[in-house]
This record gives sequence, structure tokens and C-alpha cells, in this order.
Amino acid sequence: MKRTFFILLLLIVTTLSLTAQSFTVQAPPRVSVGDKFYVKYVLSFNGGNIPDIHVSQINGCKHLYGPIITGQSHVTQVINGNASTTAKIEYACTYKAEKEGTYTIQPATVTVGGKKLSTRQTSITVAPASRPSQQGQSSAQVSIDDIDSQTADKRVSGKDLFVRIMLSKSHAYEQEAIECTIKLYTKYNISSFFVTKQPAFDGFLVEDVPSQAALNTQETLNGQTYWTALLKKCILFPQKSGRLTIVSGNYDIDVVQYELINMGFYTVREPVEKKLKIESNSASIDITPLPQPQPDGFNGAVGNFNVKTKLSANNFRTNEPVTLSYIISGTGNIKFLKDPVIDFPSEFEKYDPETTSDTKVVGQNLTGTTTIDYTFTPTEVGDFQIQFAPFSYFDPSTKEYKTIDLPPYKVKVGQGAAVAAGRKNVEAKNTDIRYIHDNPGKLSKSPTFMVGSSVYWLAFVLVAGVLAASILLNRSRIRRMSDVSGLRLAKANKVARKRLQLAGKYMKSHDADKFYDETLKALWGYLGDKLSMPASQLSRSNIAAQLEERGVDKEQIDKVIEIIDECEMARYTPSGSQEKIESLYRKATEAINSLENFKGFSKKPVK
Amino acid sequence: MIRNLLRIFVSLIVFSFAYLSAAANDWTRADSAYKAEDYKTAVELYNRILNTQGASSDLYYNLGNAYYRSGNVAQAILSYERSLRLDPTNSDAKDNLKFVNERIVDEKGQTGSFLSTAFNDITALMTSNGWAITALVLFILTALAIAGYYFVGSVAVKKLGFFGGIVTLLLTIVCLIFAFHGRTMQSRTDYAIITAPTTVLSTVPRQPANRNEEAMLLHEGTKVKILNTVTFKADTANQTWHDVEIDNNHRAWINDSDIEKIF
Repeated sequence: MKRTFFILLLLIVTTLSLTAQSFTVQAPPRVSVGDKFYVKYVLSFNGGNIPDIHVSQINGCKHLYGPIITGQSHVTQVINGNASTTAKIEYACTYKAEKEGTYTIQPATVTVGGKKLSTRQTSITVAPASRPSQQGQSSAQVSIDDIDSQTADKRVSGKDLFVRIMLSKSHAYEQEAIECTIKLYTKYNISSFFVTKQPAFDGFLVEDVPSQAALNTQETLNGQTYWTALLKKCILFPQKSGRLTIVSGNYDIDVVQYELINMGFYTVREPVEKKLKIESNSASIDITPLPQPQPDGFNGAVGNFNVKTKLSANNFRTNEPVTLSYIISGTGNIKFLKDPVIDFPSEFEKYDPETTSDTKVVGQNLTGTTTIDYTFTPTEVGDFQIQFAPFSYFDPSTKEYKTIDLPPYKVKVGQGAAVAAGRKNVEAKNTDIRYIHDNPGKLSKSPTFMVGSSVYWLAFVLVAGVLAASILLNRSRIRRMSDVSGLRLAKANKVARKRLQLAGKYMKSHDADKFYDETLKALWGYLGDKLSMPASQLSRSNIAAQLEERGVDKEQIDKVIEIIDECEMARYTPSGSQEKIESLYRKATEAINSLENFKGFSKKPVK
Repeated sequence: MIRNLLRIFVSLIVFSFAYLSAAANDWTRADSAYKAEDYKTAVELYNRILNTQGASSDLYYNLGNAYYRSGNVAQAILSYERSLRLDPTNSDAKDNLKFVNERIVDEKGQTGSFLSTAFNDITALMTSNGWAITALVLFILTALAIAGYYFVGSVAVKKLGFFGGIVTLLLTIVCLIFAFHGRTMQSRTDYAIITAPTTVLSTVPRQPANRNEEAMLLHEGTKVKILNTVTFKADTANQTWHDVEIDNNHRAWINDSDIEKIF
């Protein structure tokens, strides 16, 4: 073993002595764009001062450092009493590959003992940039404690620097408080931080928790340790149901990485700032609508509340202002409650309510008091009532509505300072539709109209007809009144009958003279009326002619003449028997009746 | 034979009594539903009376109230309009229609001229039949006046009859004009109420194809007057569009499905 080693050493020494003066170059044959690489030059010579070497640029690569001496060795040999020294010096030049292609590394030159040595020419191929995982980052994870791991050749991955939006719940009710935290996680130091776009909380009411951003906390997440800074903390109150999303924010961040520079025996870390644009995650939450039905008086309060009311005075007088305080205390969306409904009598003059909130964030919710002050002035003396709608809220922990009933205030208003009370107009406080009717009235499938119907017109015709008829009748009466003979004609029968009746009376009382007289008068009068002639112009002789002229039957004329003769005769021979008188009376009545039935008298006599 | 006829007669009487009592029964049930604030049931019952036994002004009035209480403003206005059509003197219906009309979204401009509005208002003081009866009574008075002129001897009565007769005859003619106009108003079918919550009227008788064809946006409860109607076949179904006048300055086309005719 020992012998073998000796032989080997001998061989090496021999070799060294053989290559007593040499200058060689060593370069990686292949690099990637963005890689740093070293070109090594090794000079062996026979001692003396360390010479400078001259290197030339490599196209497509950036010269970073060097040449610097990275190692040297001196070998002194004594062979057969002759001492010779061989020095071996290593130089290194650092380059960074910038453009892909194949480039020539021009020979480097050095002058040793008056002799110029040069290396051979080599070439290097710069390949396209390889994926970072090939670059060794995967093997060495970045650690906040180890600056050496924070090298500038590493891409800052989303695992090393990110902004997270975190919500305290994954689902919530409408108006239920949700805590939202936005944090920066980093493994690097940060030199500057700008928010270019704030996260947008659409559909939420936001109550900010004041906080100072500082990179001062360490936190372990997924087994890795980060520095964290609280960027924003707030309590969110969702205003609508469904899936609500907080839109991500954008940040400009400068991180500090370190460039490791090989200085030969030691490494220098030079800080390098890298500008990054970071987008936070976007957070989503499912919002459940509040359960239905909602109780009366529910005005969107979600949480846990208590309510009380307070009047600023106990004695009320007209025209003296009083304040009613409505105090809501508790936890939840207390700052965003609608004003409660308070039913003031309209005789109170009201002013706009003033709302003051005193809240702070406790835990993941908002706690405090909201006071609503209603100032009003009673304007009328009397007993009044101030009523409150019950206060209802939804308790998300028990998932049910709770209602707080508020007792009404009974208020007695006394007469206050001088008021000029005059008469007042009747004033309606409210109006509403009129009430329903009790009786349906006559139901019909389709309405009927009188106007235009035949029955309706018939009624008009009837009225007009009655009028016309009565006018016509009246007309003829008037004409008859103006025409005496006509009247006499009409009345002849009536007069004759009256006379005959009188004659009948005399007949019964056996007063023969008067009977004959009346019978004659009746006959002469009747004939005079019928013939429109005065009785004085009538005589036994002309009467037959007149009657004949009117067309009366000869037989009838003879009868009338006969009666007249008989009566004349009896007047002068008053010995007539009762039978004779009765038969004469009958005959006279028959003659007048038969003449009455004759229609020819009204005609004018034919001349 | 006679016995059978008698049986039919008796059963007819029994039926008609049952029918009448059913009517009264429905009415009381509807009223008590309304009083118990169960307006949906009231609407249903009033509508049943309407469909089975016919209409009356008071029935439409109550139906309108029930519709308004259950939140259906368009149907409430329709019912009040129908109530007033049957009886223009129903002052409660008039007041409620005015009340509800103040609570709809669209505020219309003036409709009709001053004279036509005044004419319509005076006509609405009585039903057509009321005017007709008044006209007849006035005509009888005219006849009496003429009779007085003819038949009474006193000069004062003659003068009164003469001039009174002329006046009452003129009034008869005026009342007849109102009666005829009232009949026209009570039987016209060219008015409608918008029943769709909102509707975009078009400048052409079809769905507006772009913004340039949109005429105006109207809301439920607005009364429109139909001037013209066009029906055409579009796609699969027939489409009917009405040329409507909203007020004196607004006129556009509306889809038939967005409105309901008063009659």
C-alpha cells in the first residue's frame, strides 16, 4: 500500500514537472440565460510574482467580477539537490448569461518570465432560461431566519409573499357581524409598500377597526414561518343575501433579496430590491336571508339588543319642549339601525330626531349604544299617549326573532305659557278609502237603459196623445158653445123629457088641463129645438113641411101631428078620460124617442 | 199531468229561493271576510257573486275595496271604474277611486277639453235612467202646462202655462241629451287600465326593437283610452296592440296583455 502511494506521488510530481508552465481555461459548456457562471483559469509556472491575466469579454454575457484569484499552491521540489518551485494559481471570472446563443471565449493571456502564455479558445452555449425549479430554489426553501436563503436569483413566489383576506365565518345571516382581516405575509424584508387598489366590500356596511400596519409579528402558516403585518381589520354587515364577494386588492411591494457574490474565500451579500405587484385573494361568503315571517316592528336589527326609553321631564306643559330618548344598547349592527317608529299624537309638534352612536369593536362584533333623541313640544292641553312599535331583532346565535315590548307613556299636558289659541279648521289626520256597502243592490248581468227603448218613447207618445185628445175635445165643446142651434139640438131631448116628466106628474094628479099644456110645450119645444126655429114660428101646418124637408118618415110626421091635434082638441074639450090621457102620454114619449133616434136634424135644411 | 206540473212548479219555487238565499249568503260571507280583514277571501267571494249572479255598482265597489286592501291597486281601480260605470252617482266609489288614483306612480296630464269634461261631469250627476225619468216627468209637466194654457180661463194661469211649458219642454230636451250621453258613457268600451306592474309603450304596434322605438314607461293603475287596435300574427301566437291615448299630449302603442278593459 505504501509502495503504491509512493509510486503514485512520484508519477504526479513527474507530471508537474513536465507541465511546468501551462495556462488552461475551464468553462461550463452550457449555461442558461440568467445564470451566473465562472470561467476558471489555471496557471502553473515556476514561481515568482503572481502575474495578472488579461481576459476579454464574452459576447452575450455580462462580466460581473474578476478575474480574482480563488486559489494558489506552491510546490517546491528538491530533486538531486536541485530545488525547483512550481506555483499553481487559479483565477476566476464571474459572468452572467444574458442572451442565448453559442459564444466564443477568447483566449486569456498572461506573461510569465517574459514569456507570453495564452489559453486555448473555447466556446460556451447559452441555453434559454430554464424553469426556476431547476435552479435549486426547490431544494433550498426561503426561510425568514436564514438570509442566505433569500438570494436574488430566486423568484419571489406566491408562497413567500402574499396578502390574505380572511373572514371569521363562511356563512352568515343578513346584517350579522363578520370580522374581516387583511394581512400581509412575507418571508422577505419589505422596503416599501403601496396599496394601488383597496379591496372592495360591495354589499357590506363596513365598520373599520383602527390599526397600524407594522411588520412585527411572526406567524406560522402551513408549516412555514412568516413575518406578518395587519393591513386592515373591520367588521362587515352584509346588506343582501346570496353569495357576496370581497374583490381582491392590489399592492405594489418592494422586497429585499440578497445577491450572493463569491469573493473567493468569502461571500458578500449585496441587497437587491425587487418590485412586485401583488394581488390579494378574494374572499366569498354565503349570506342567508333572515327567516320569514318577520315580526312587526322589525327594522333590520341583528344581534343582541336591549331597549329602553326615557323622558326628559315628568310634567308636561304646552309649548315647553320635552325630549324622549330611545336608547338601544347591545351587540350587532347597532350603528346601522333605522330610526324606530314612535307614534306621537299629532297635537305634538315634532322636530327631527338626533341620533348619536357610541360603539366599539369587541371581539368579532360591534358593541355599544345608540341613542335617538326626539324633541317635541305639546301644543294642546289634554291627555295623550305616546306609543312605541315593539322593538324586534334577530338573534343569529339562537336563530330566532326576539321582541321587546315598550310600554306607552301616558302624558298629561297642562297649560303652559301664553298661547294664542284661536279657532281651528277641522283637520283630517289621515284619510283612507270609504268602507264597504252593506247591500249589493240589484244584481244584473247587463245594464238596461230606458232612453231609446220603445216603451220609453211610447210613454212620451201617450202623454202627447192624451194632451192632444183633450185639446181636440175641448175644441169641439167650444164650437158647440158658440153655435146655439147646435146646443139646442143637443139639449132638445133633455128639455122635452123634463117637460114630459112634469106632464107625467099632472097625469097622476088627474090635472088634465095642465097635462095637455105641458105635453104640448114639450112637443113644440122639442121640435123647435130640433128644427132650430123659434117656437112662435111653429104651427101645425109648417111643422109637417119642415119635418118632411129633413127627411123624416111620413108615418112619424102623421103621428106627431095626430098627438098635437089630440092635445089641442082636449084643451078645448076637457072631458077626456084617464085612459085617454095615459095613452096620449105614451104616444108623446114614443114620438119623441123615435124622433131622437133620427139623425137628420143637425144637417142644415136643404134650400 | 197536473200533478207533474205542480211538482215542477214547486221545485222551481224552492230552487229560486235557494238561489236567492245563496246570493245573500255569499254576500254576507264576503262582507264578514272583509270585516275580518281576510281580503283575499273577500275578493274571491265577491268575484263569485259577480260571475254567478251578475253585477251591481255596490258589488264592484266592495270588490274594489277588497282589492285595494289586499294590495292590488290596478284591480281596485278597475273595479271602482266599473262601479261608476254602472252608477255614476256612487259617491263612495268616486271618492275611493280618487284616493287610490293619488297613490299610483304615473301622474297624467289633462285629458279632454274643459267643455267635454264639464259635459261629462254634469252627465255623471245622474244615471242615464235617472235623466230619462227626469225628462219624462218634465214632459208631463209640459203637457200639463199646455193643458193649463188651453183649459183655464185666468190670464195669469195662461201666461204661466205658456212660458212654463216652453221652459219645461227645453229642459226635457236637455235631459234627453244627458240621458243619451249617459247611455253612451255607461256603455262605452274604449277605456282600459294598465294591469302590468310596469310596461314600456312602443311607438309602433309591436315590441320595441331598440331604444328609438320605446315611447314611454307606464306603471299599473293608469287609465288609458283605446283609439285603435291592431292584431297580427307574430312567431306563433297572435299579438294585439292598442293605440292608446294617456292624456292630451301622450299617445303610444301598448300590448294587449298589459291592460284590462273596463268593459
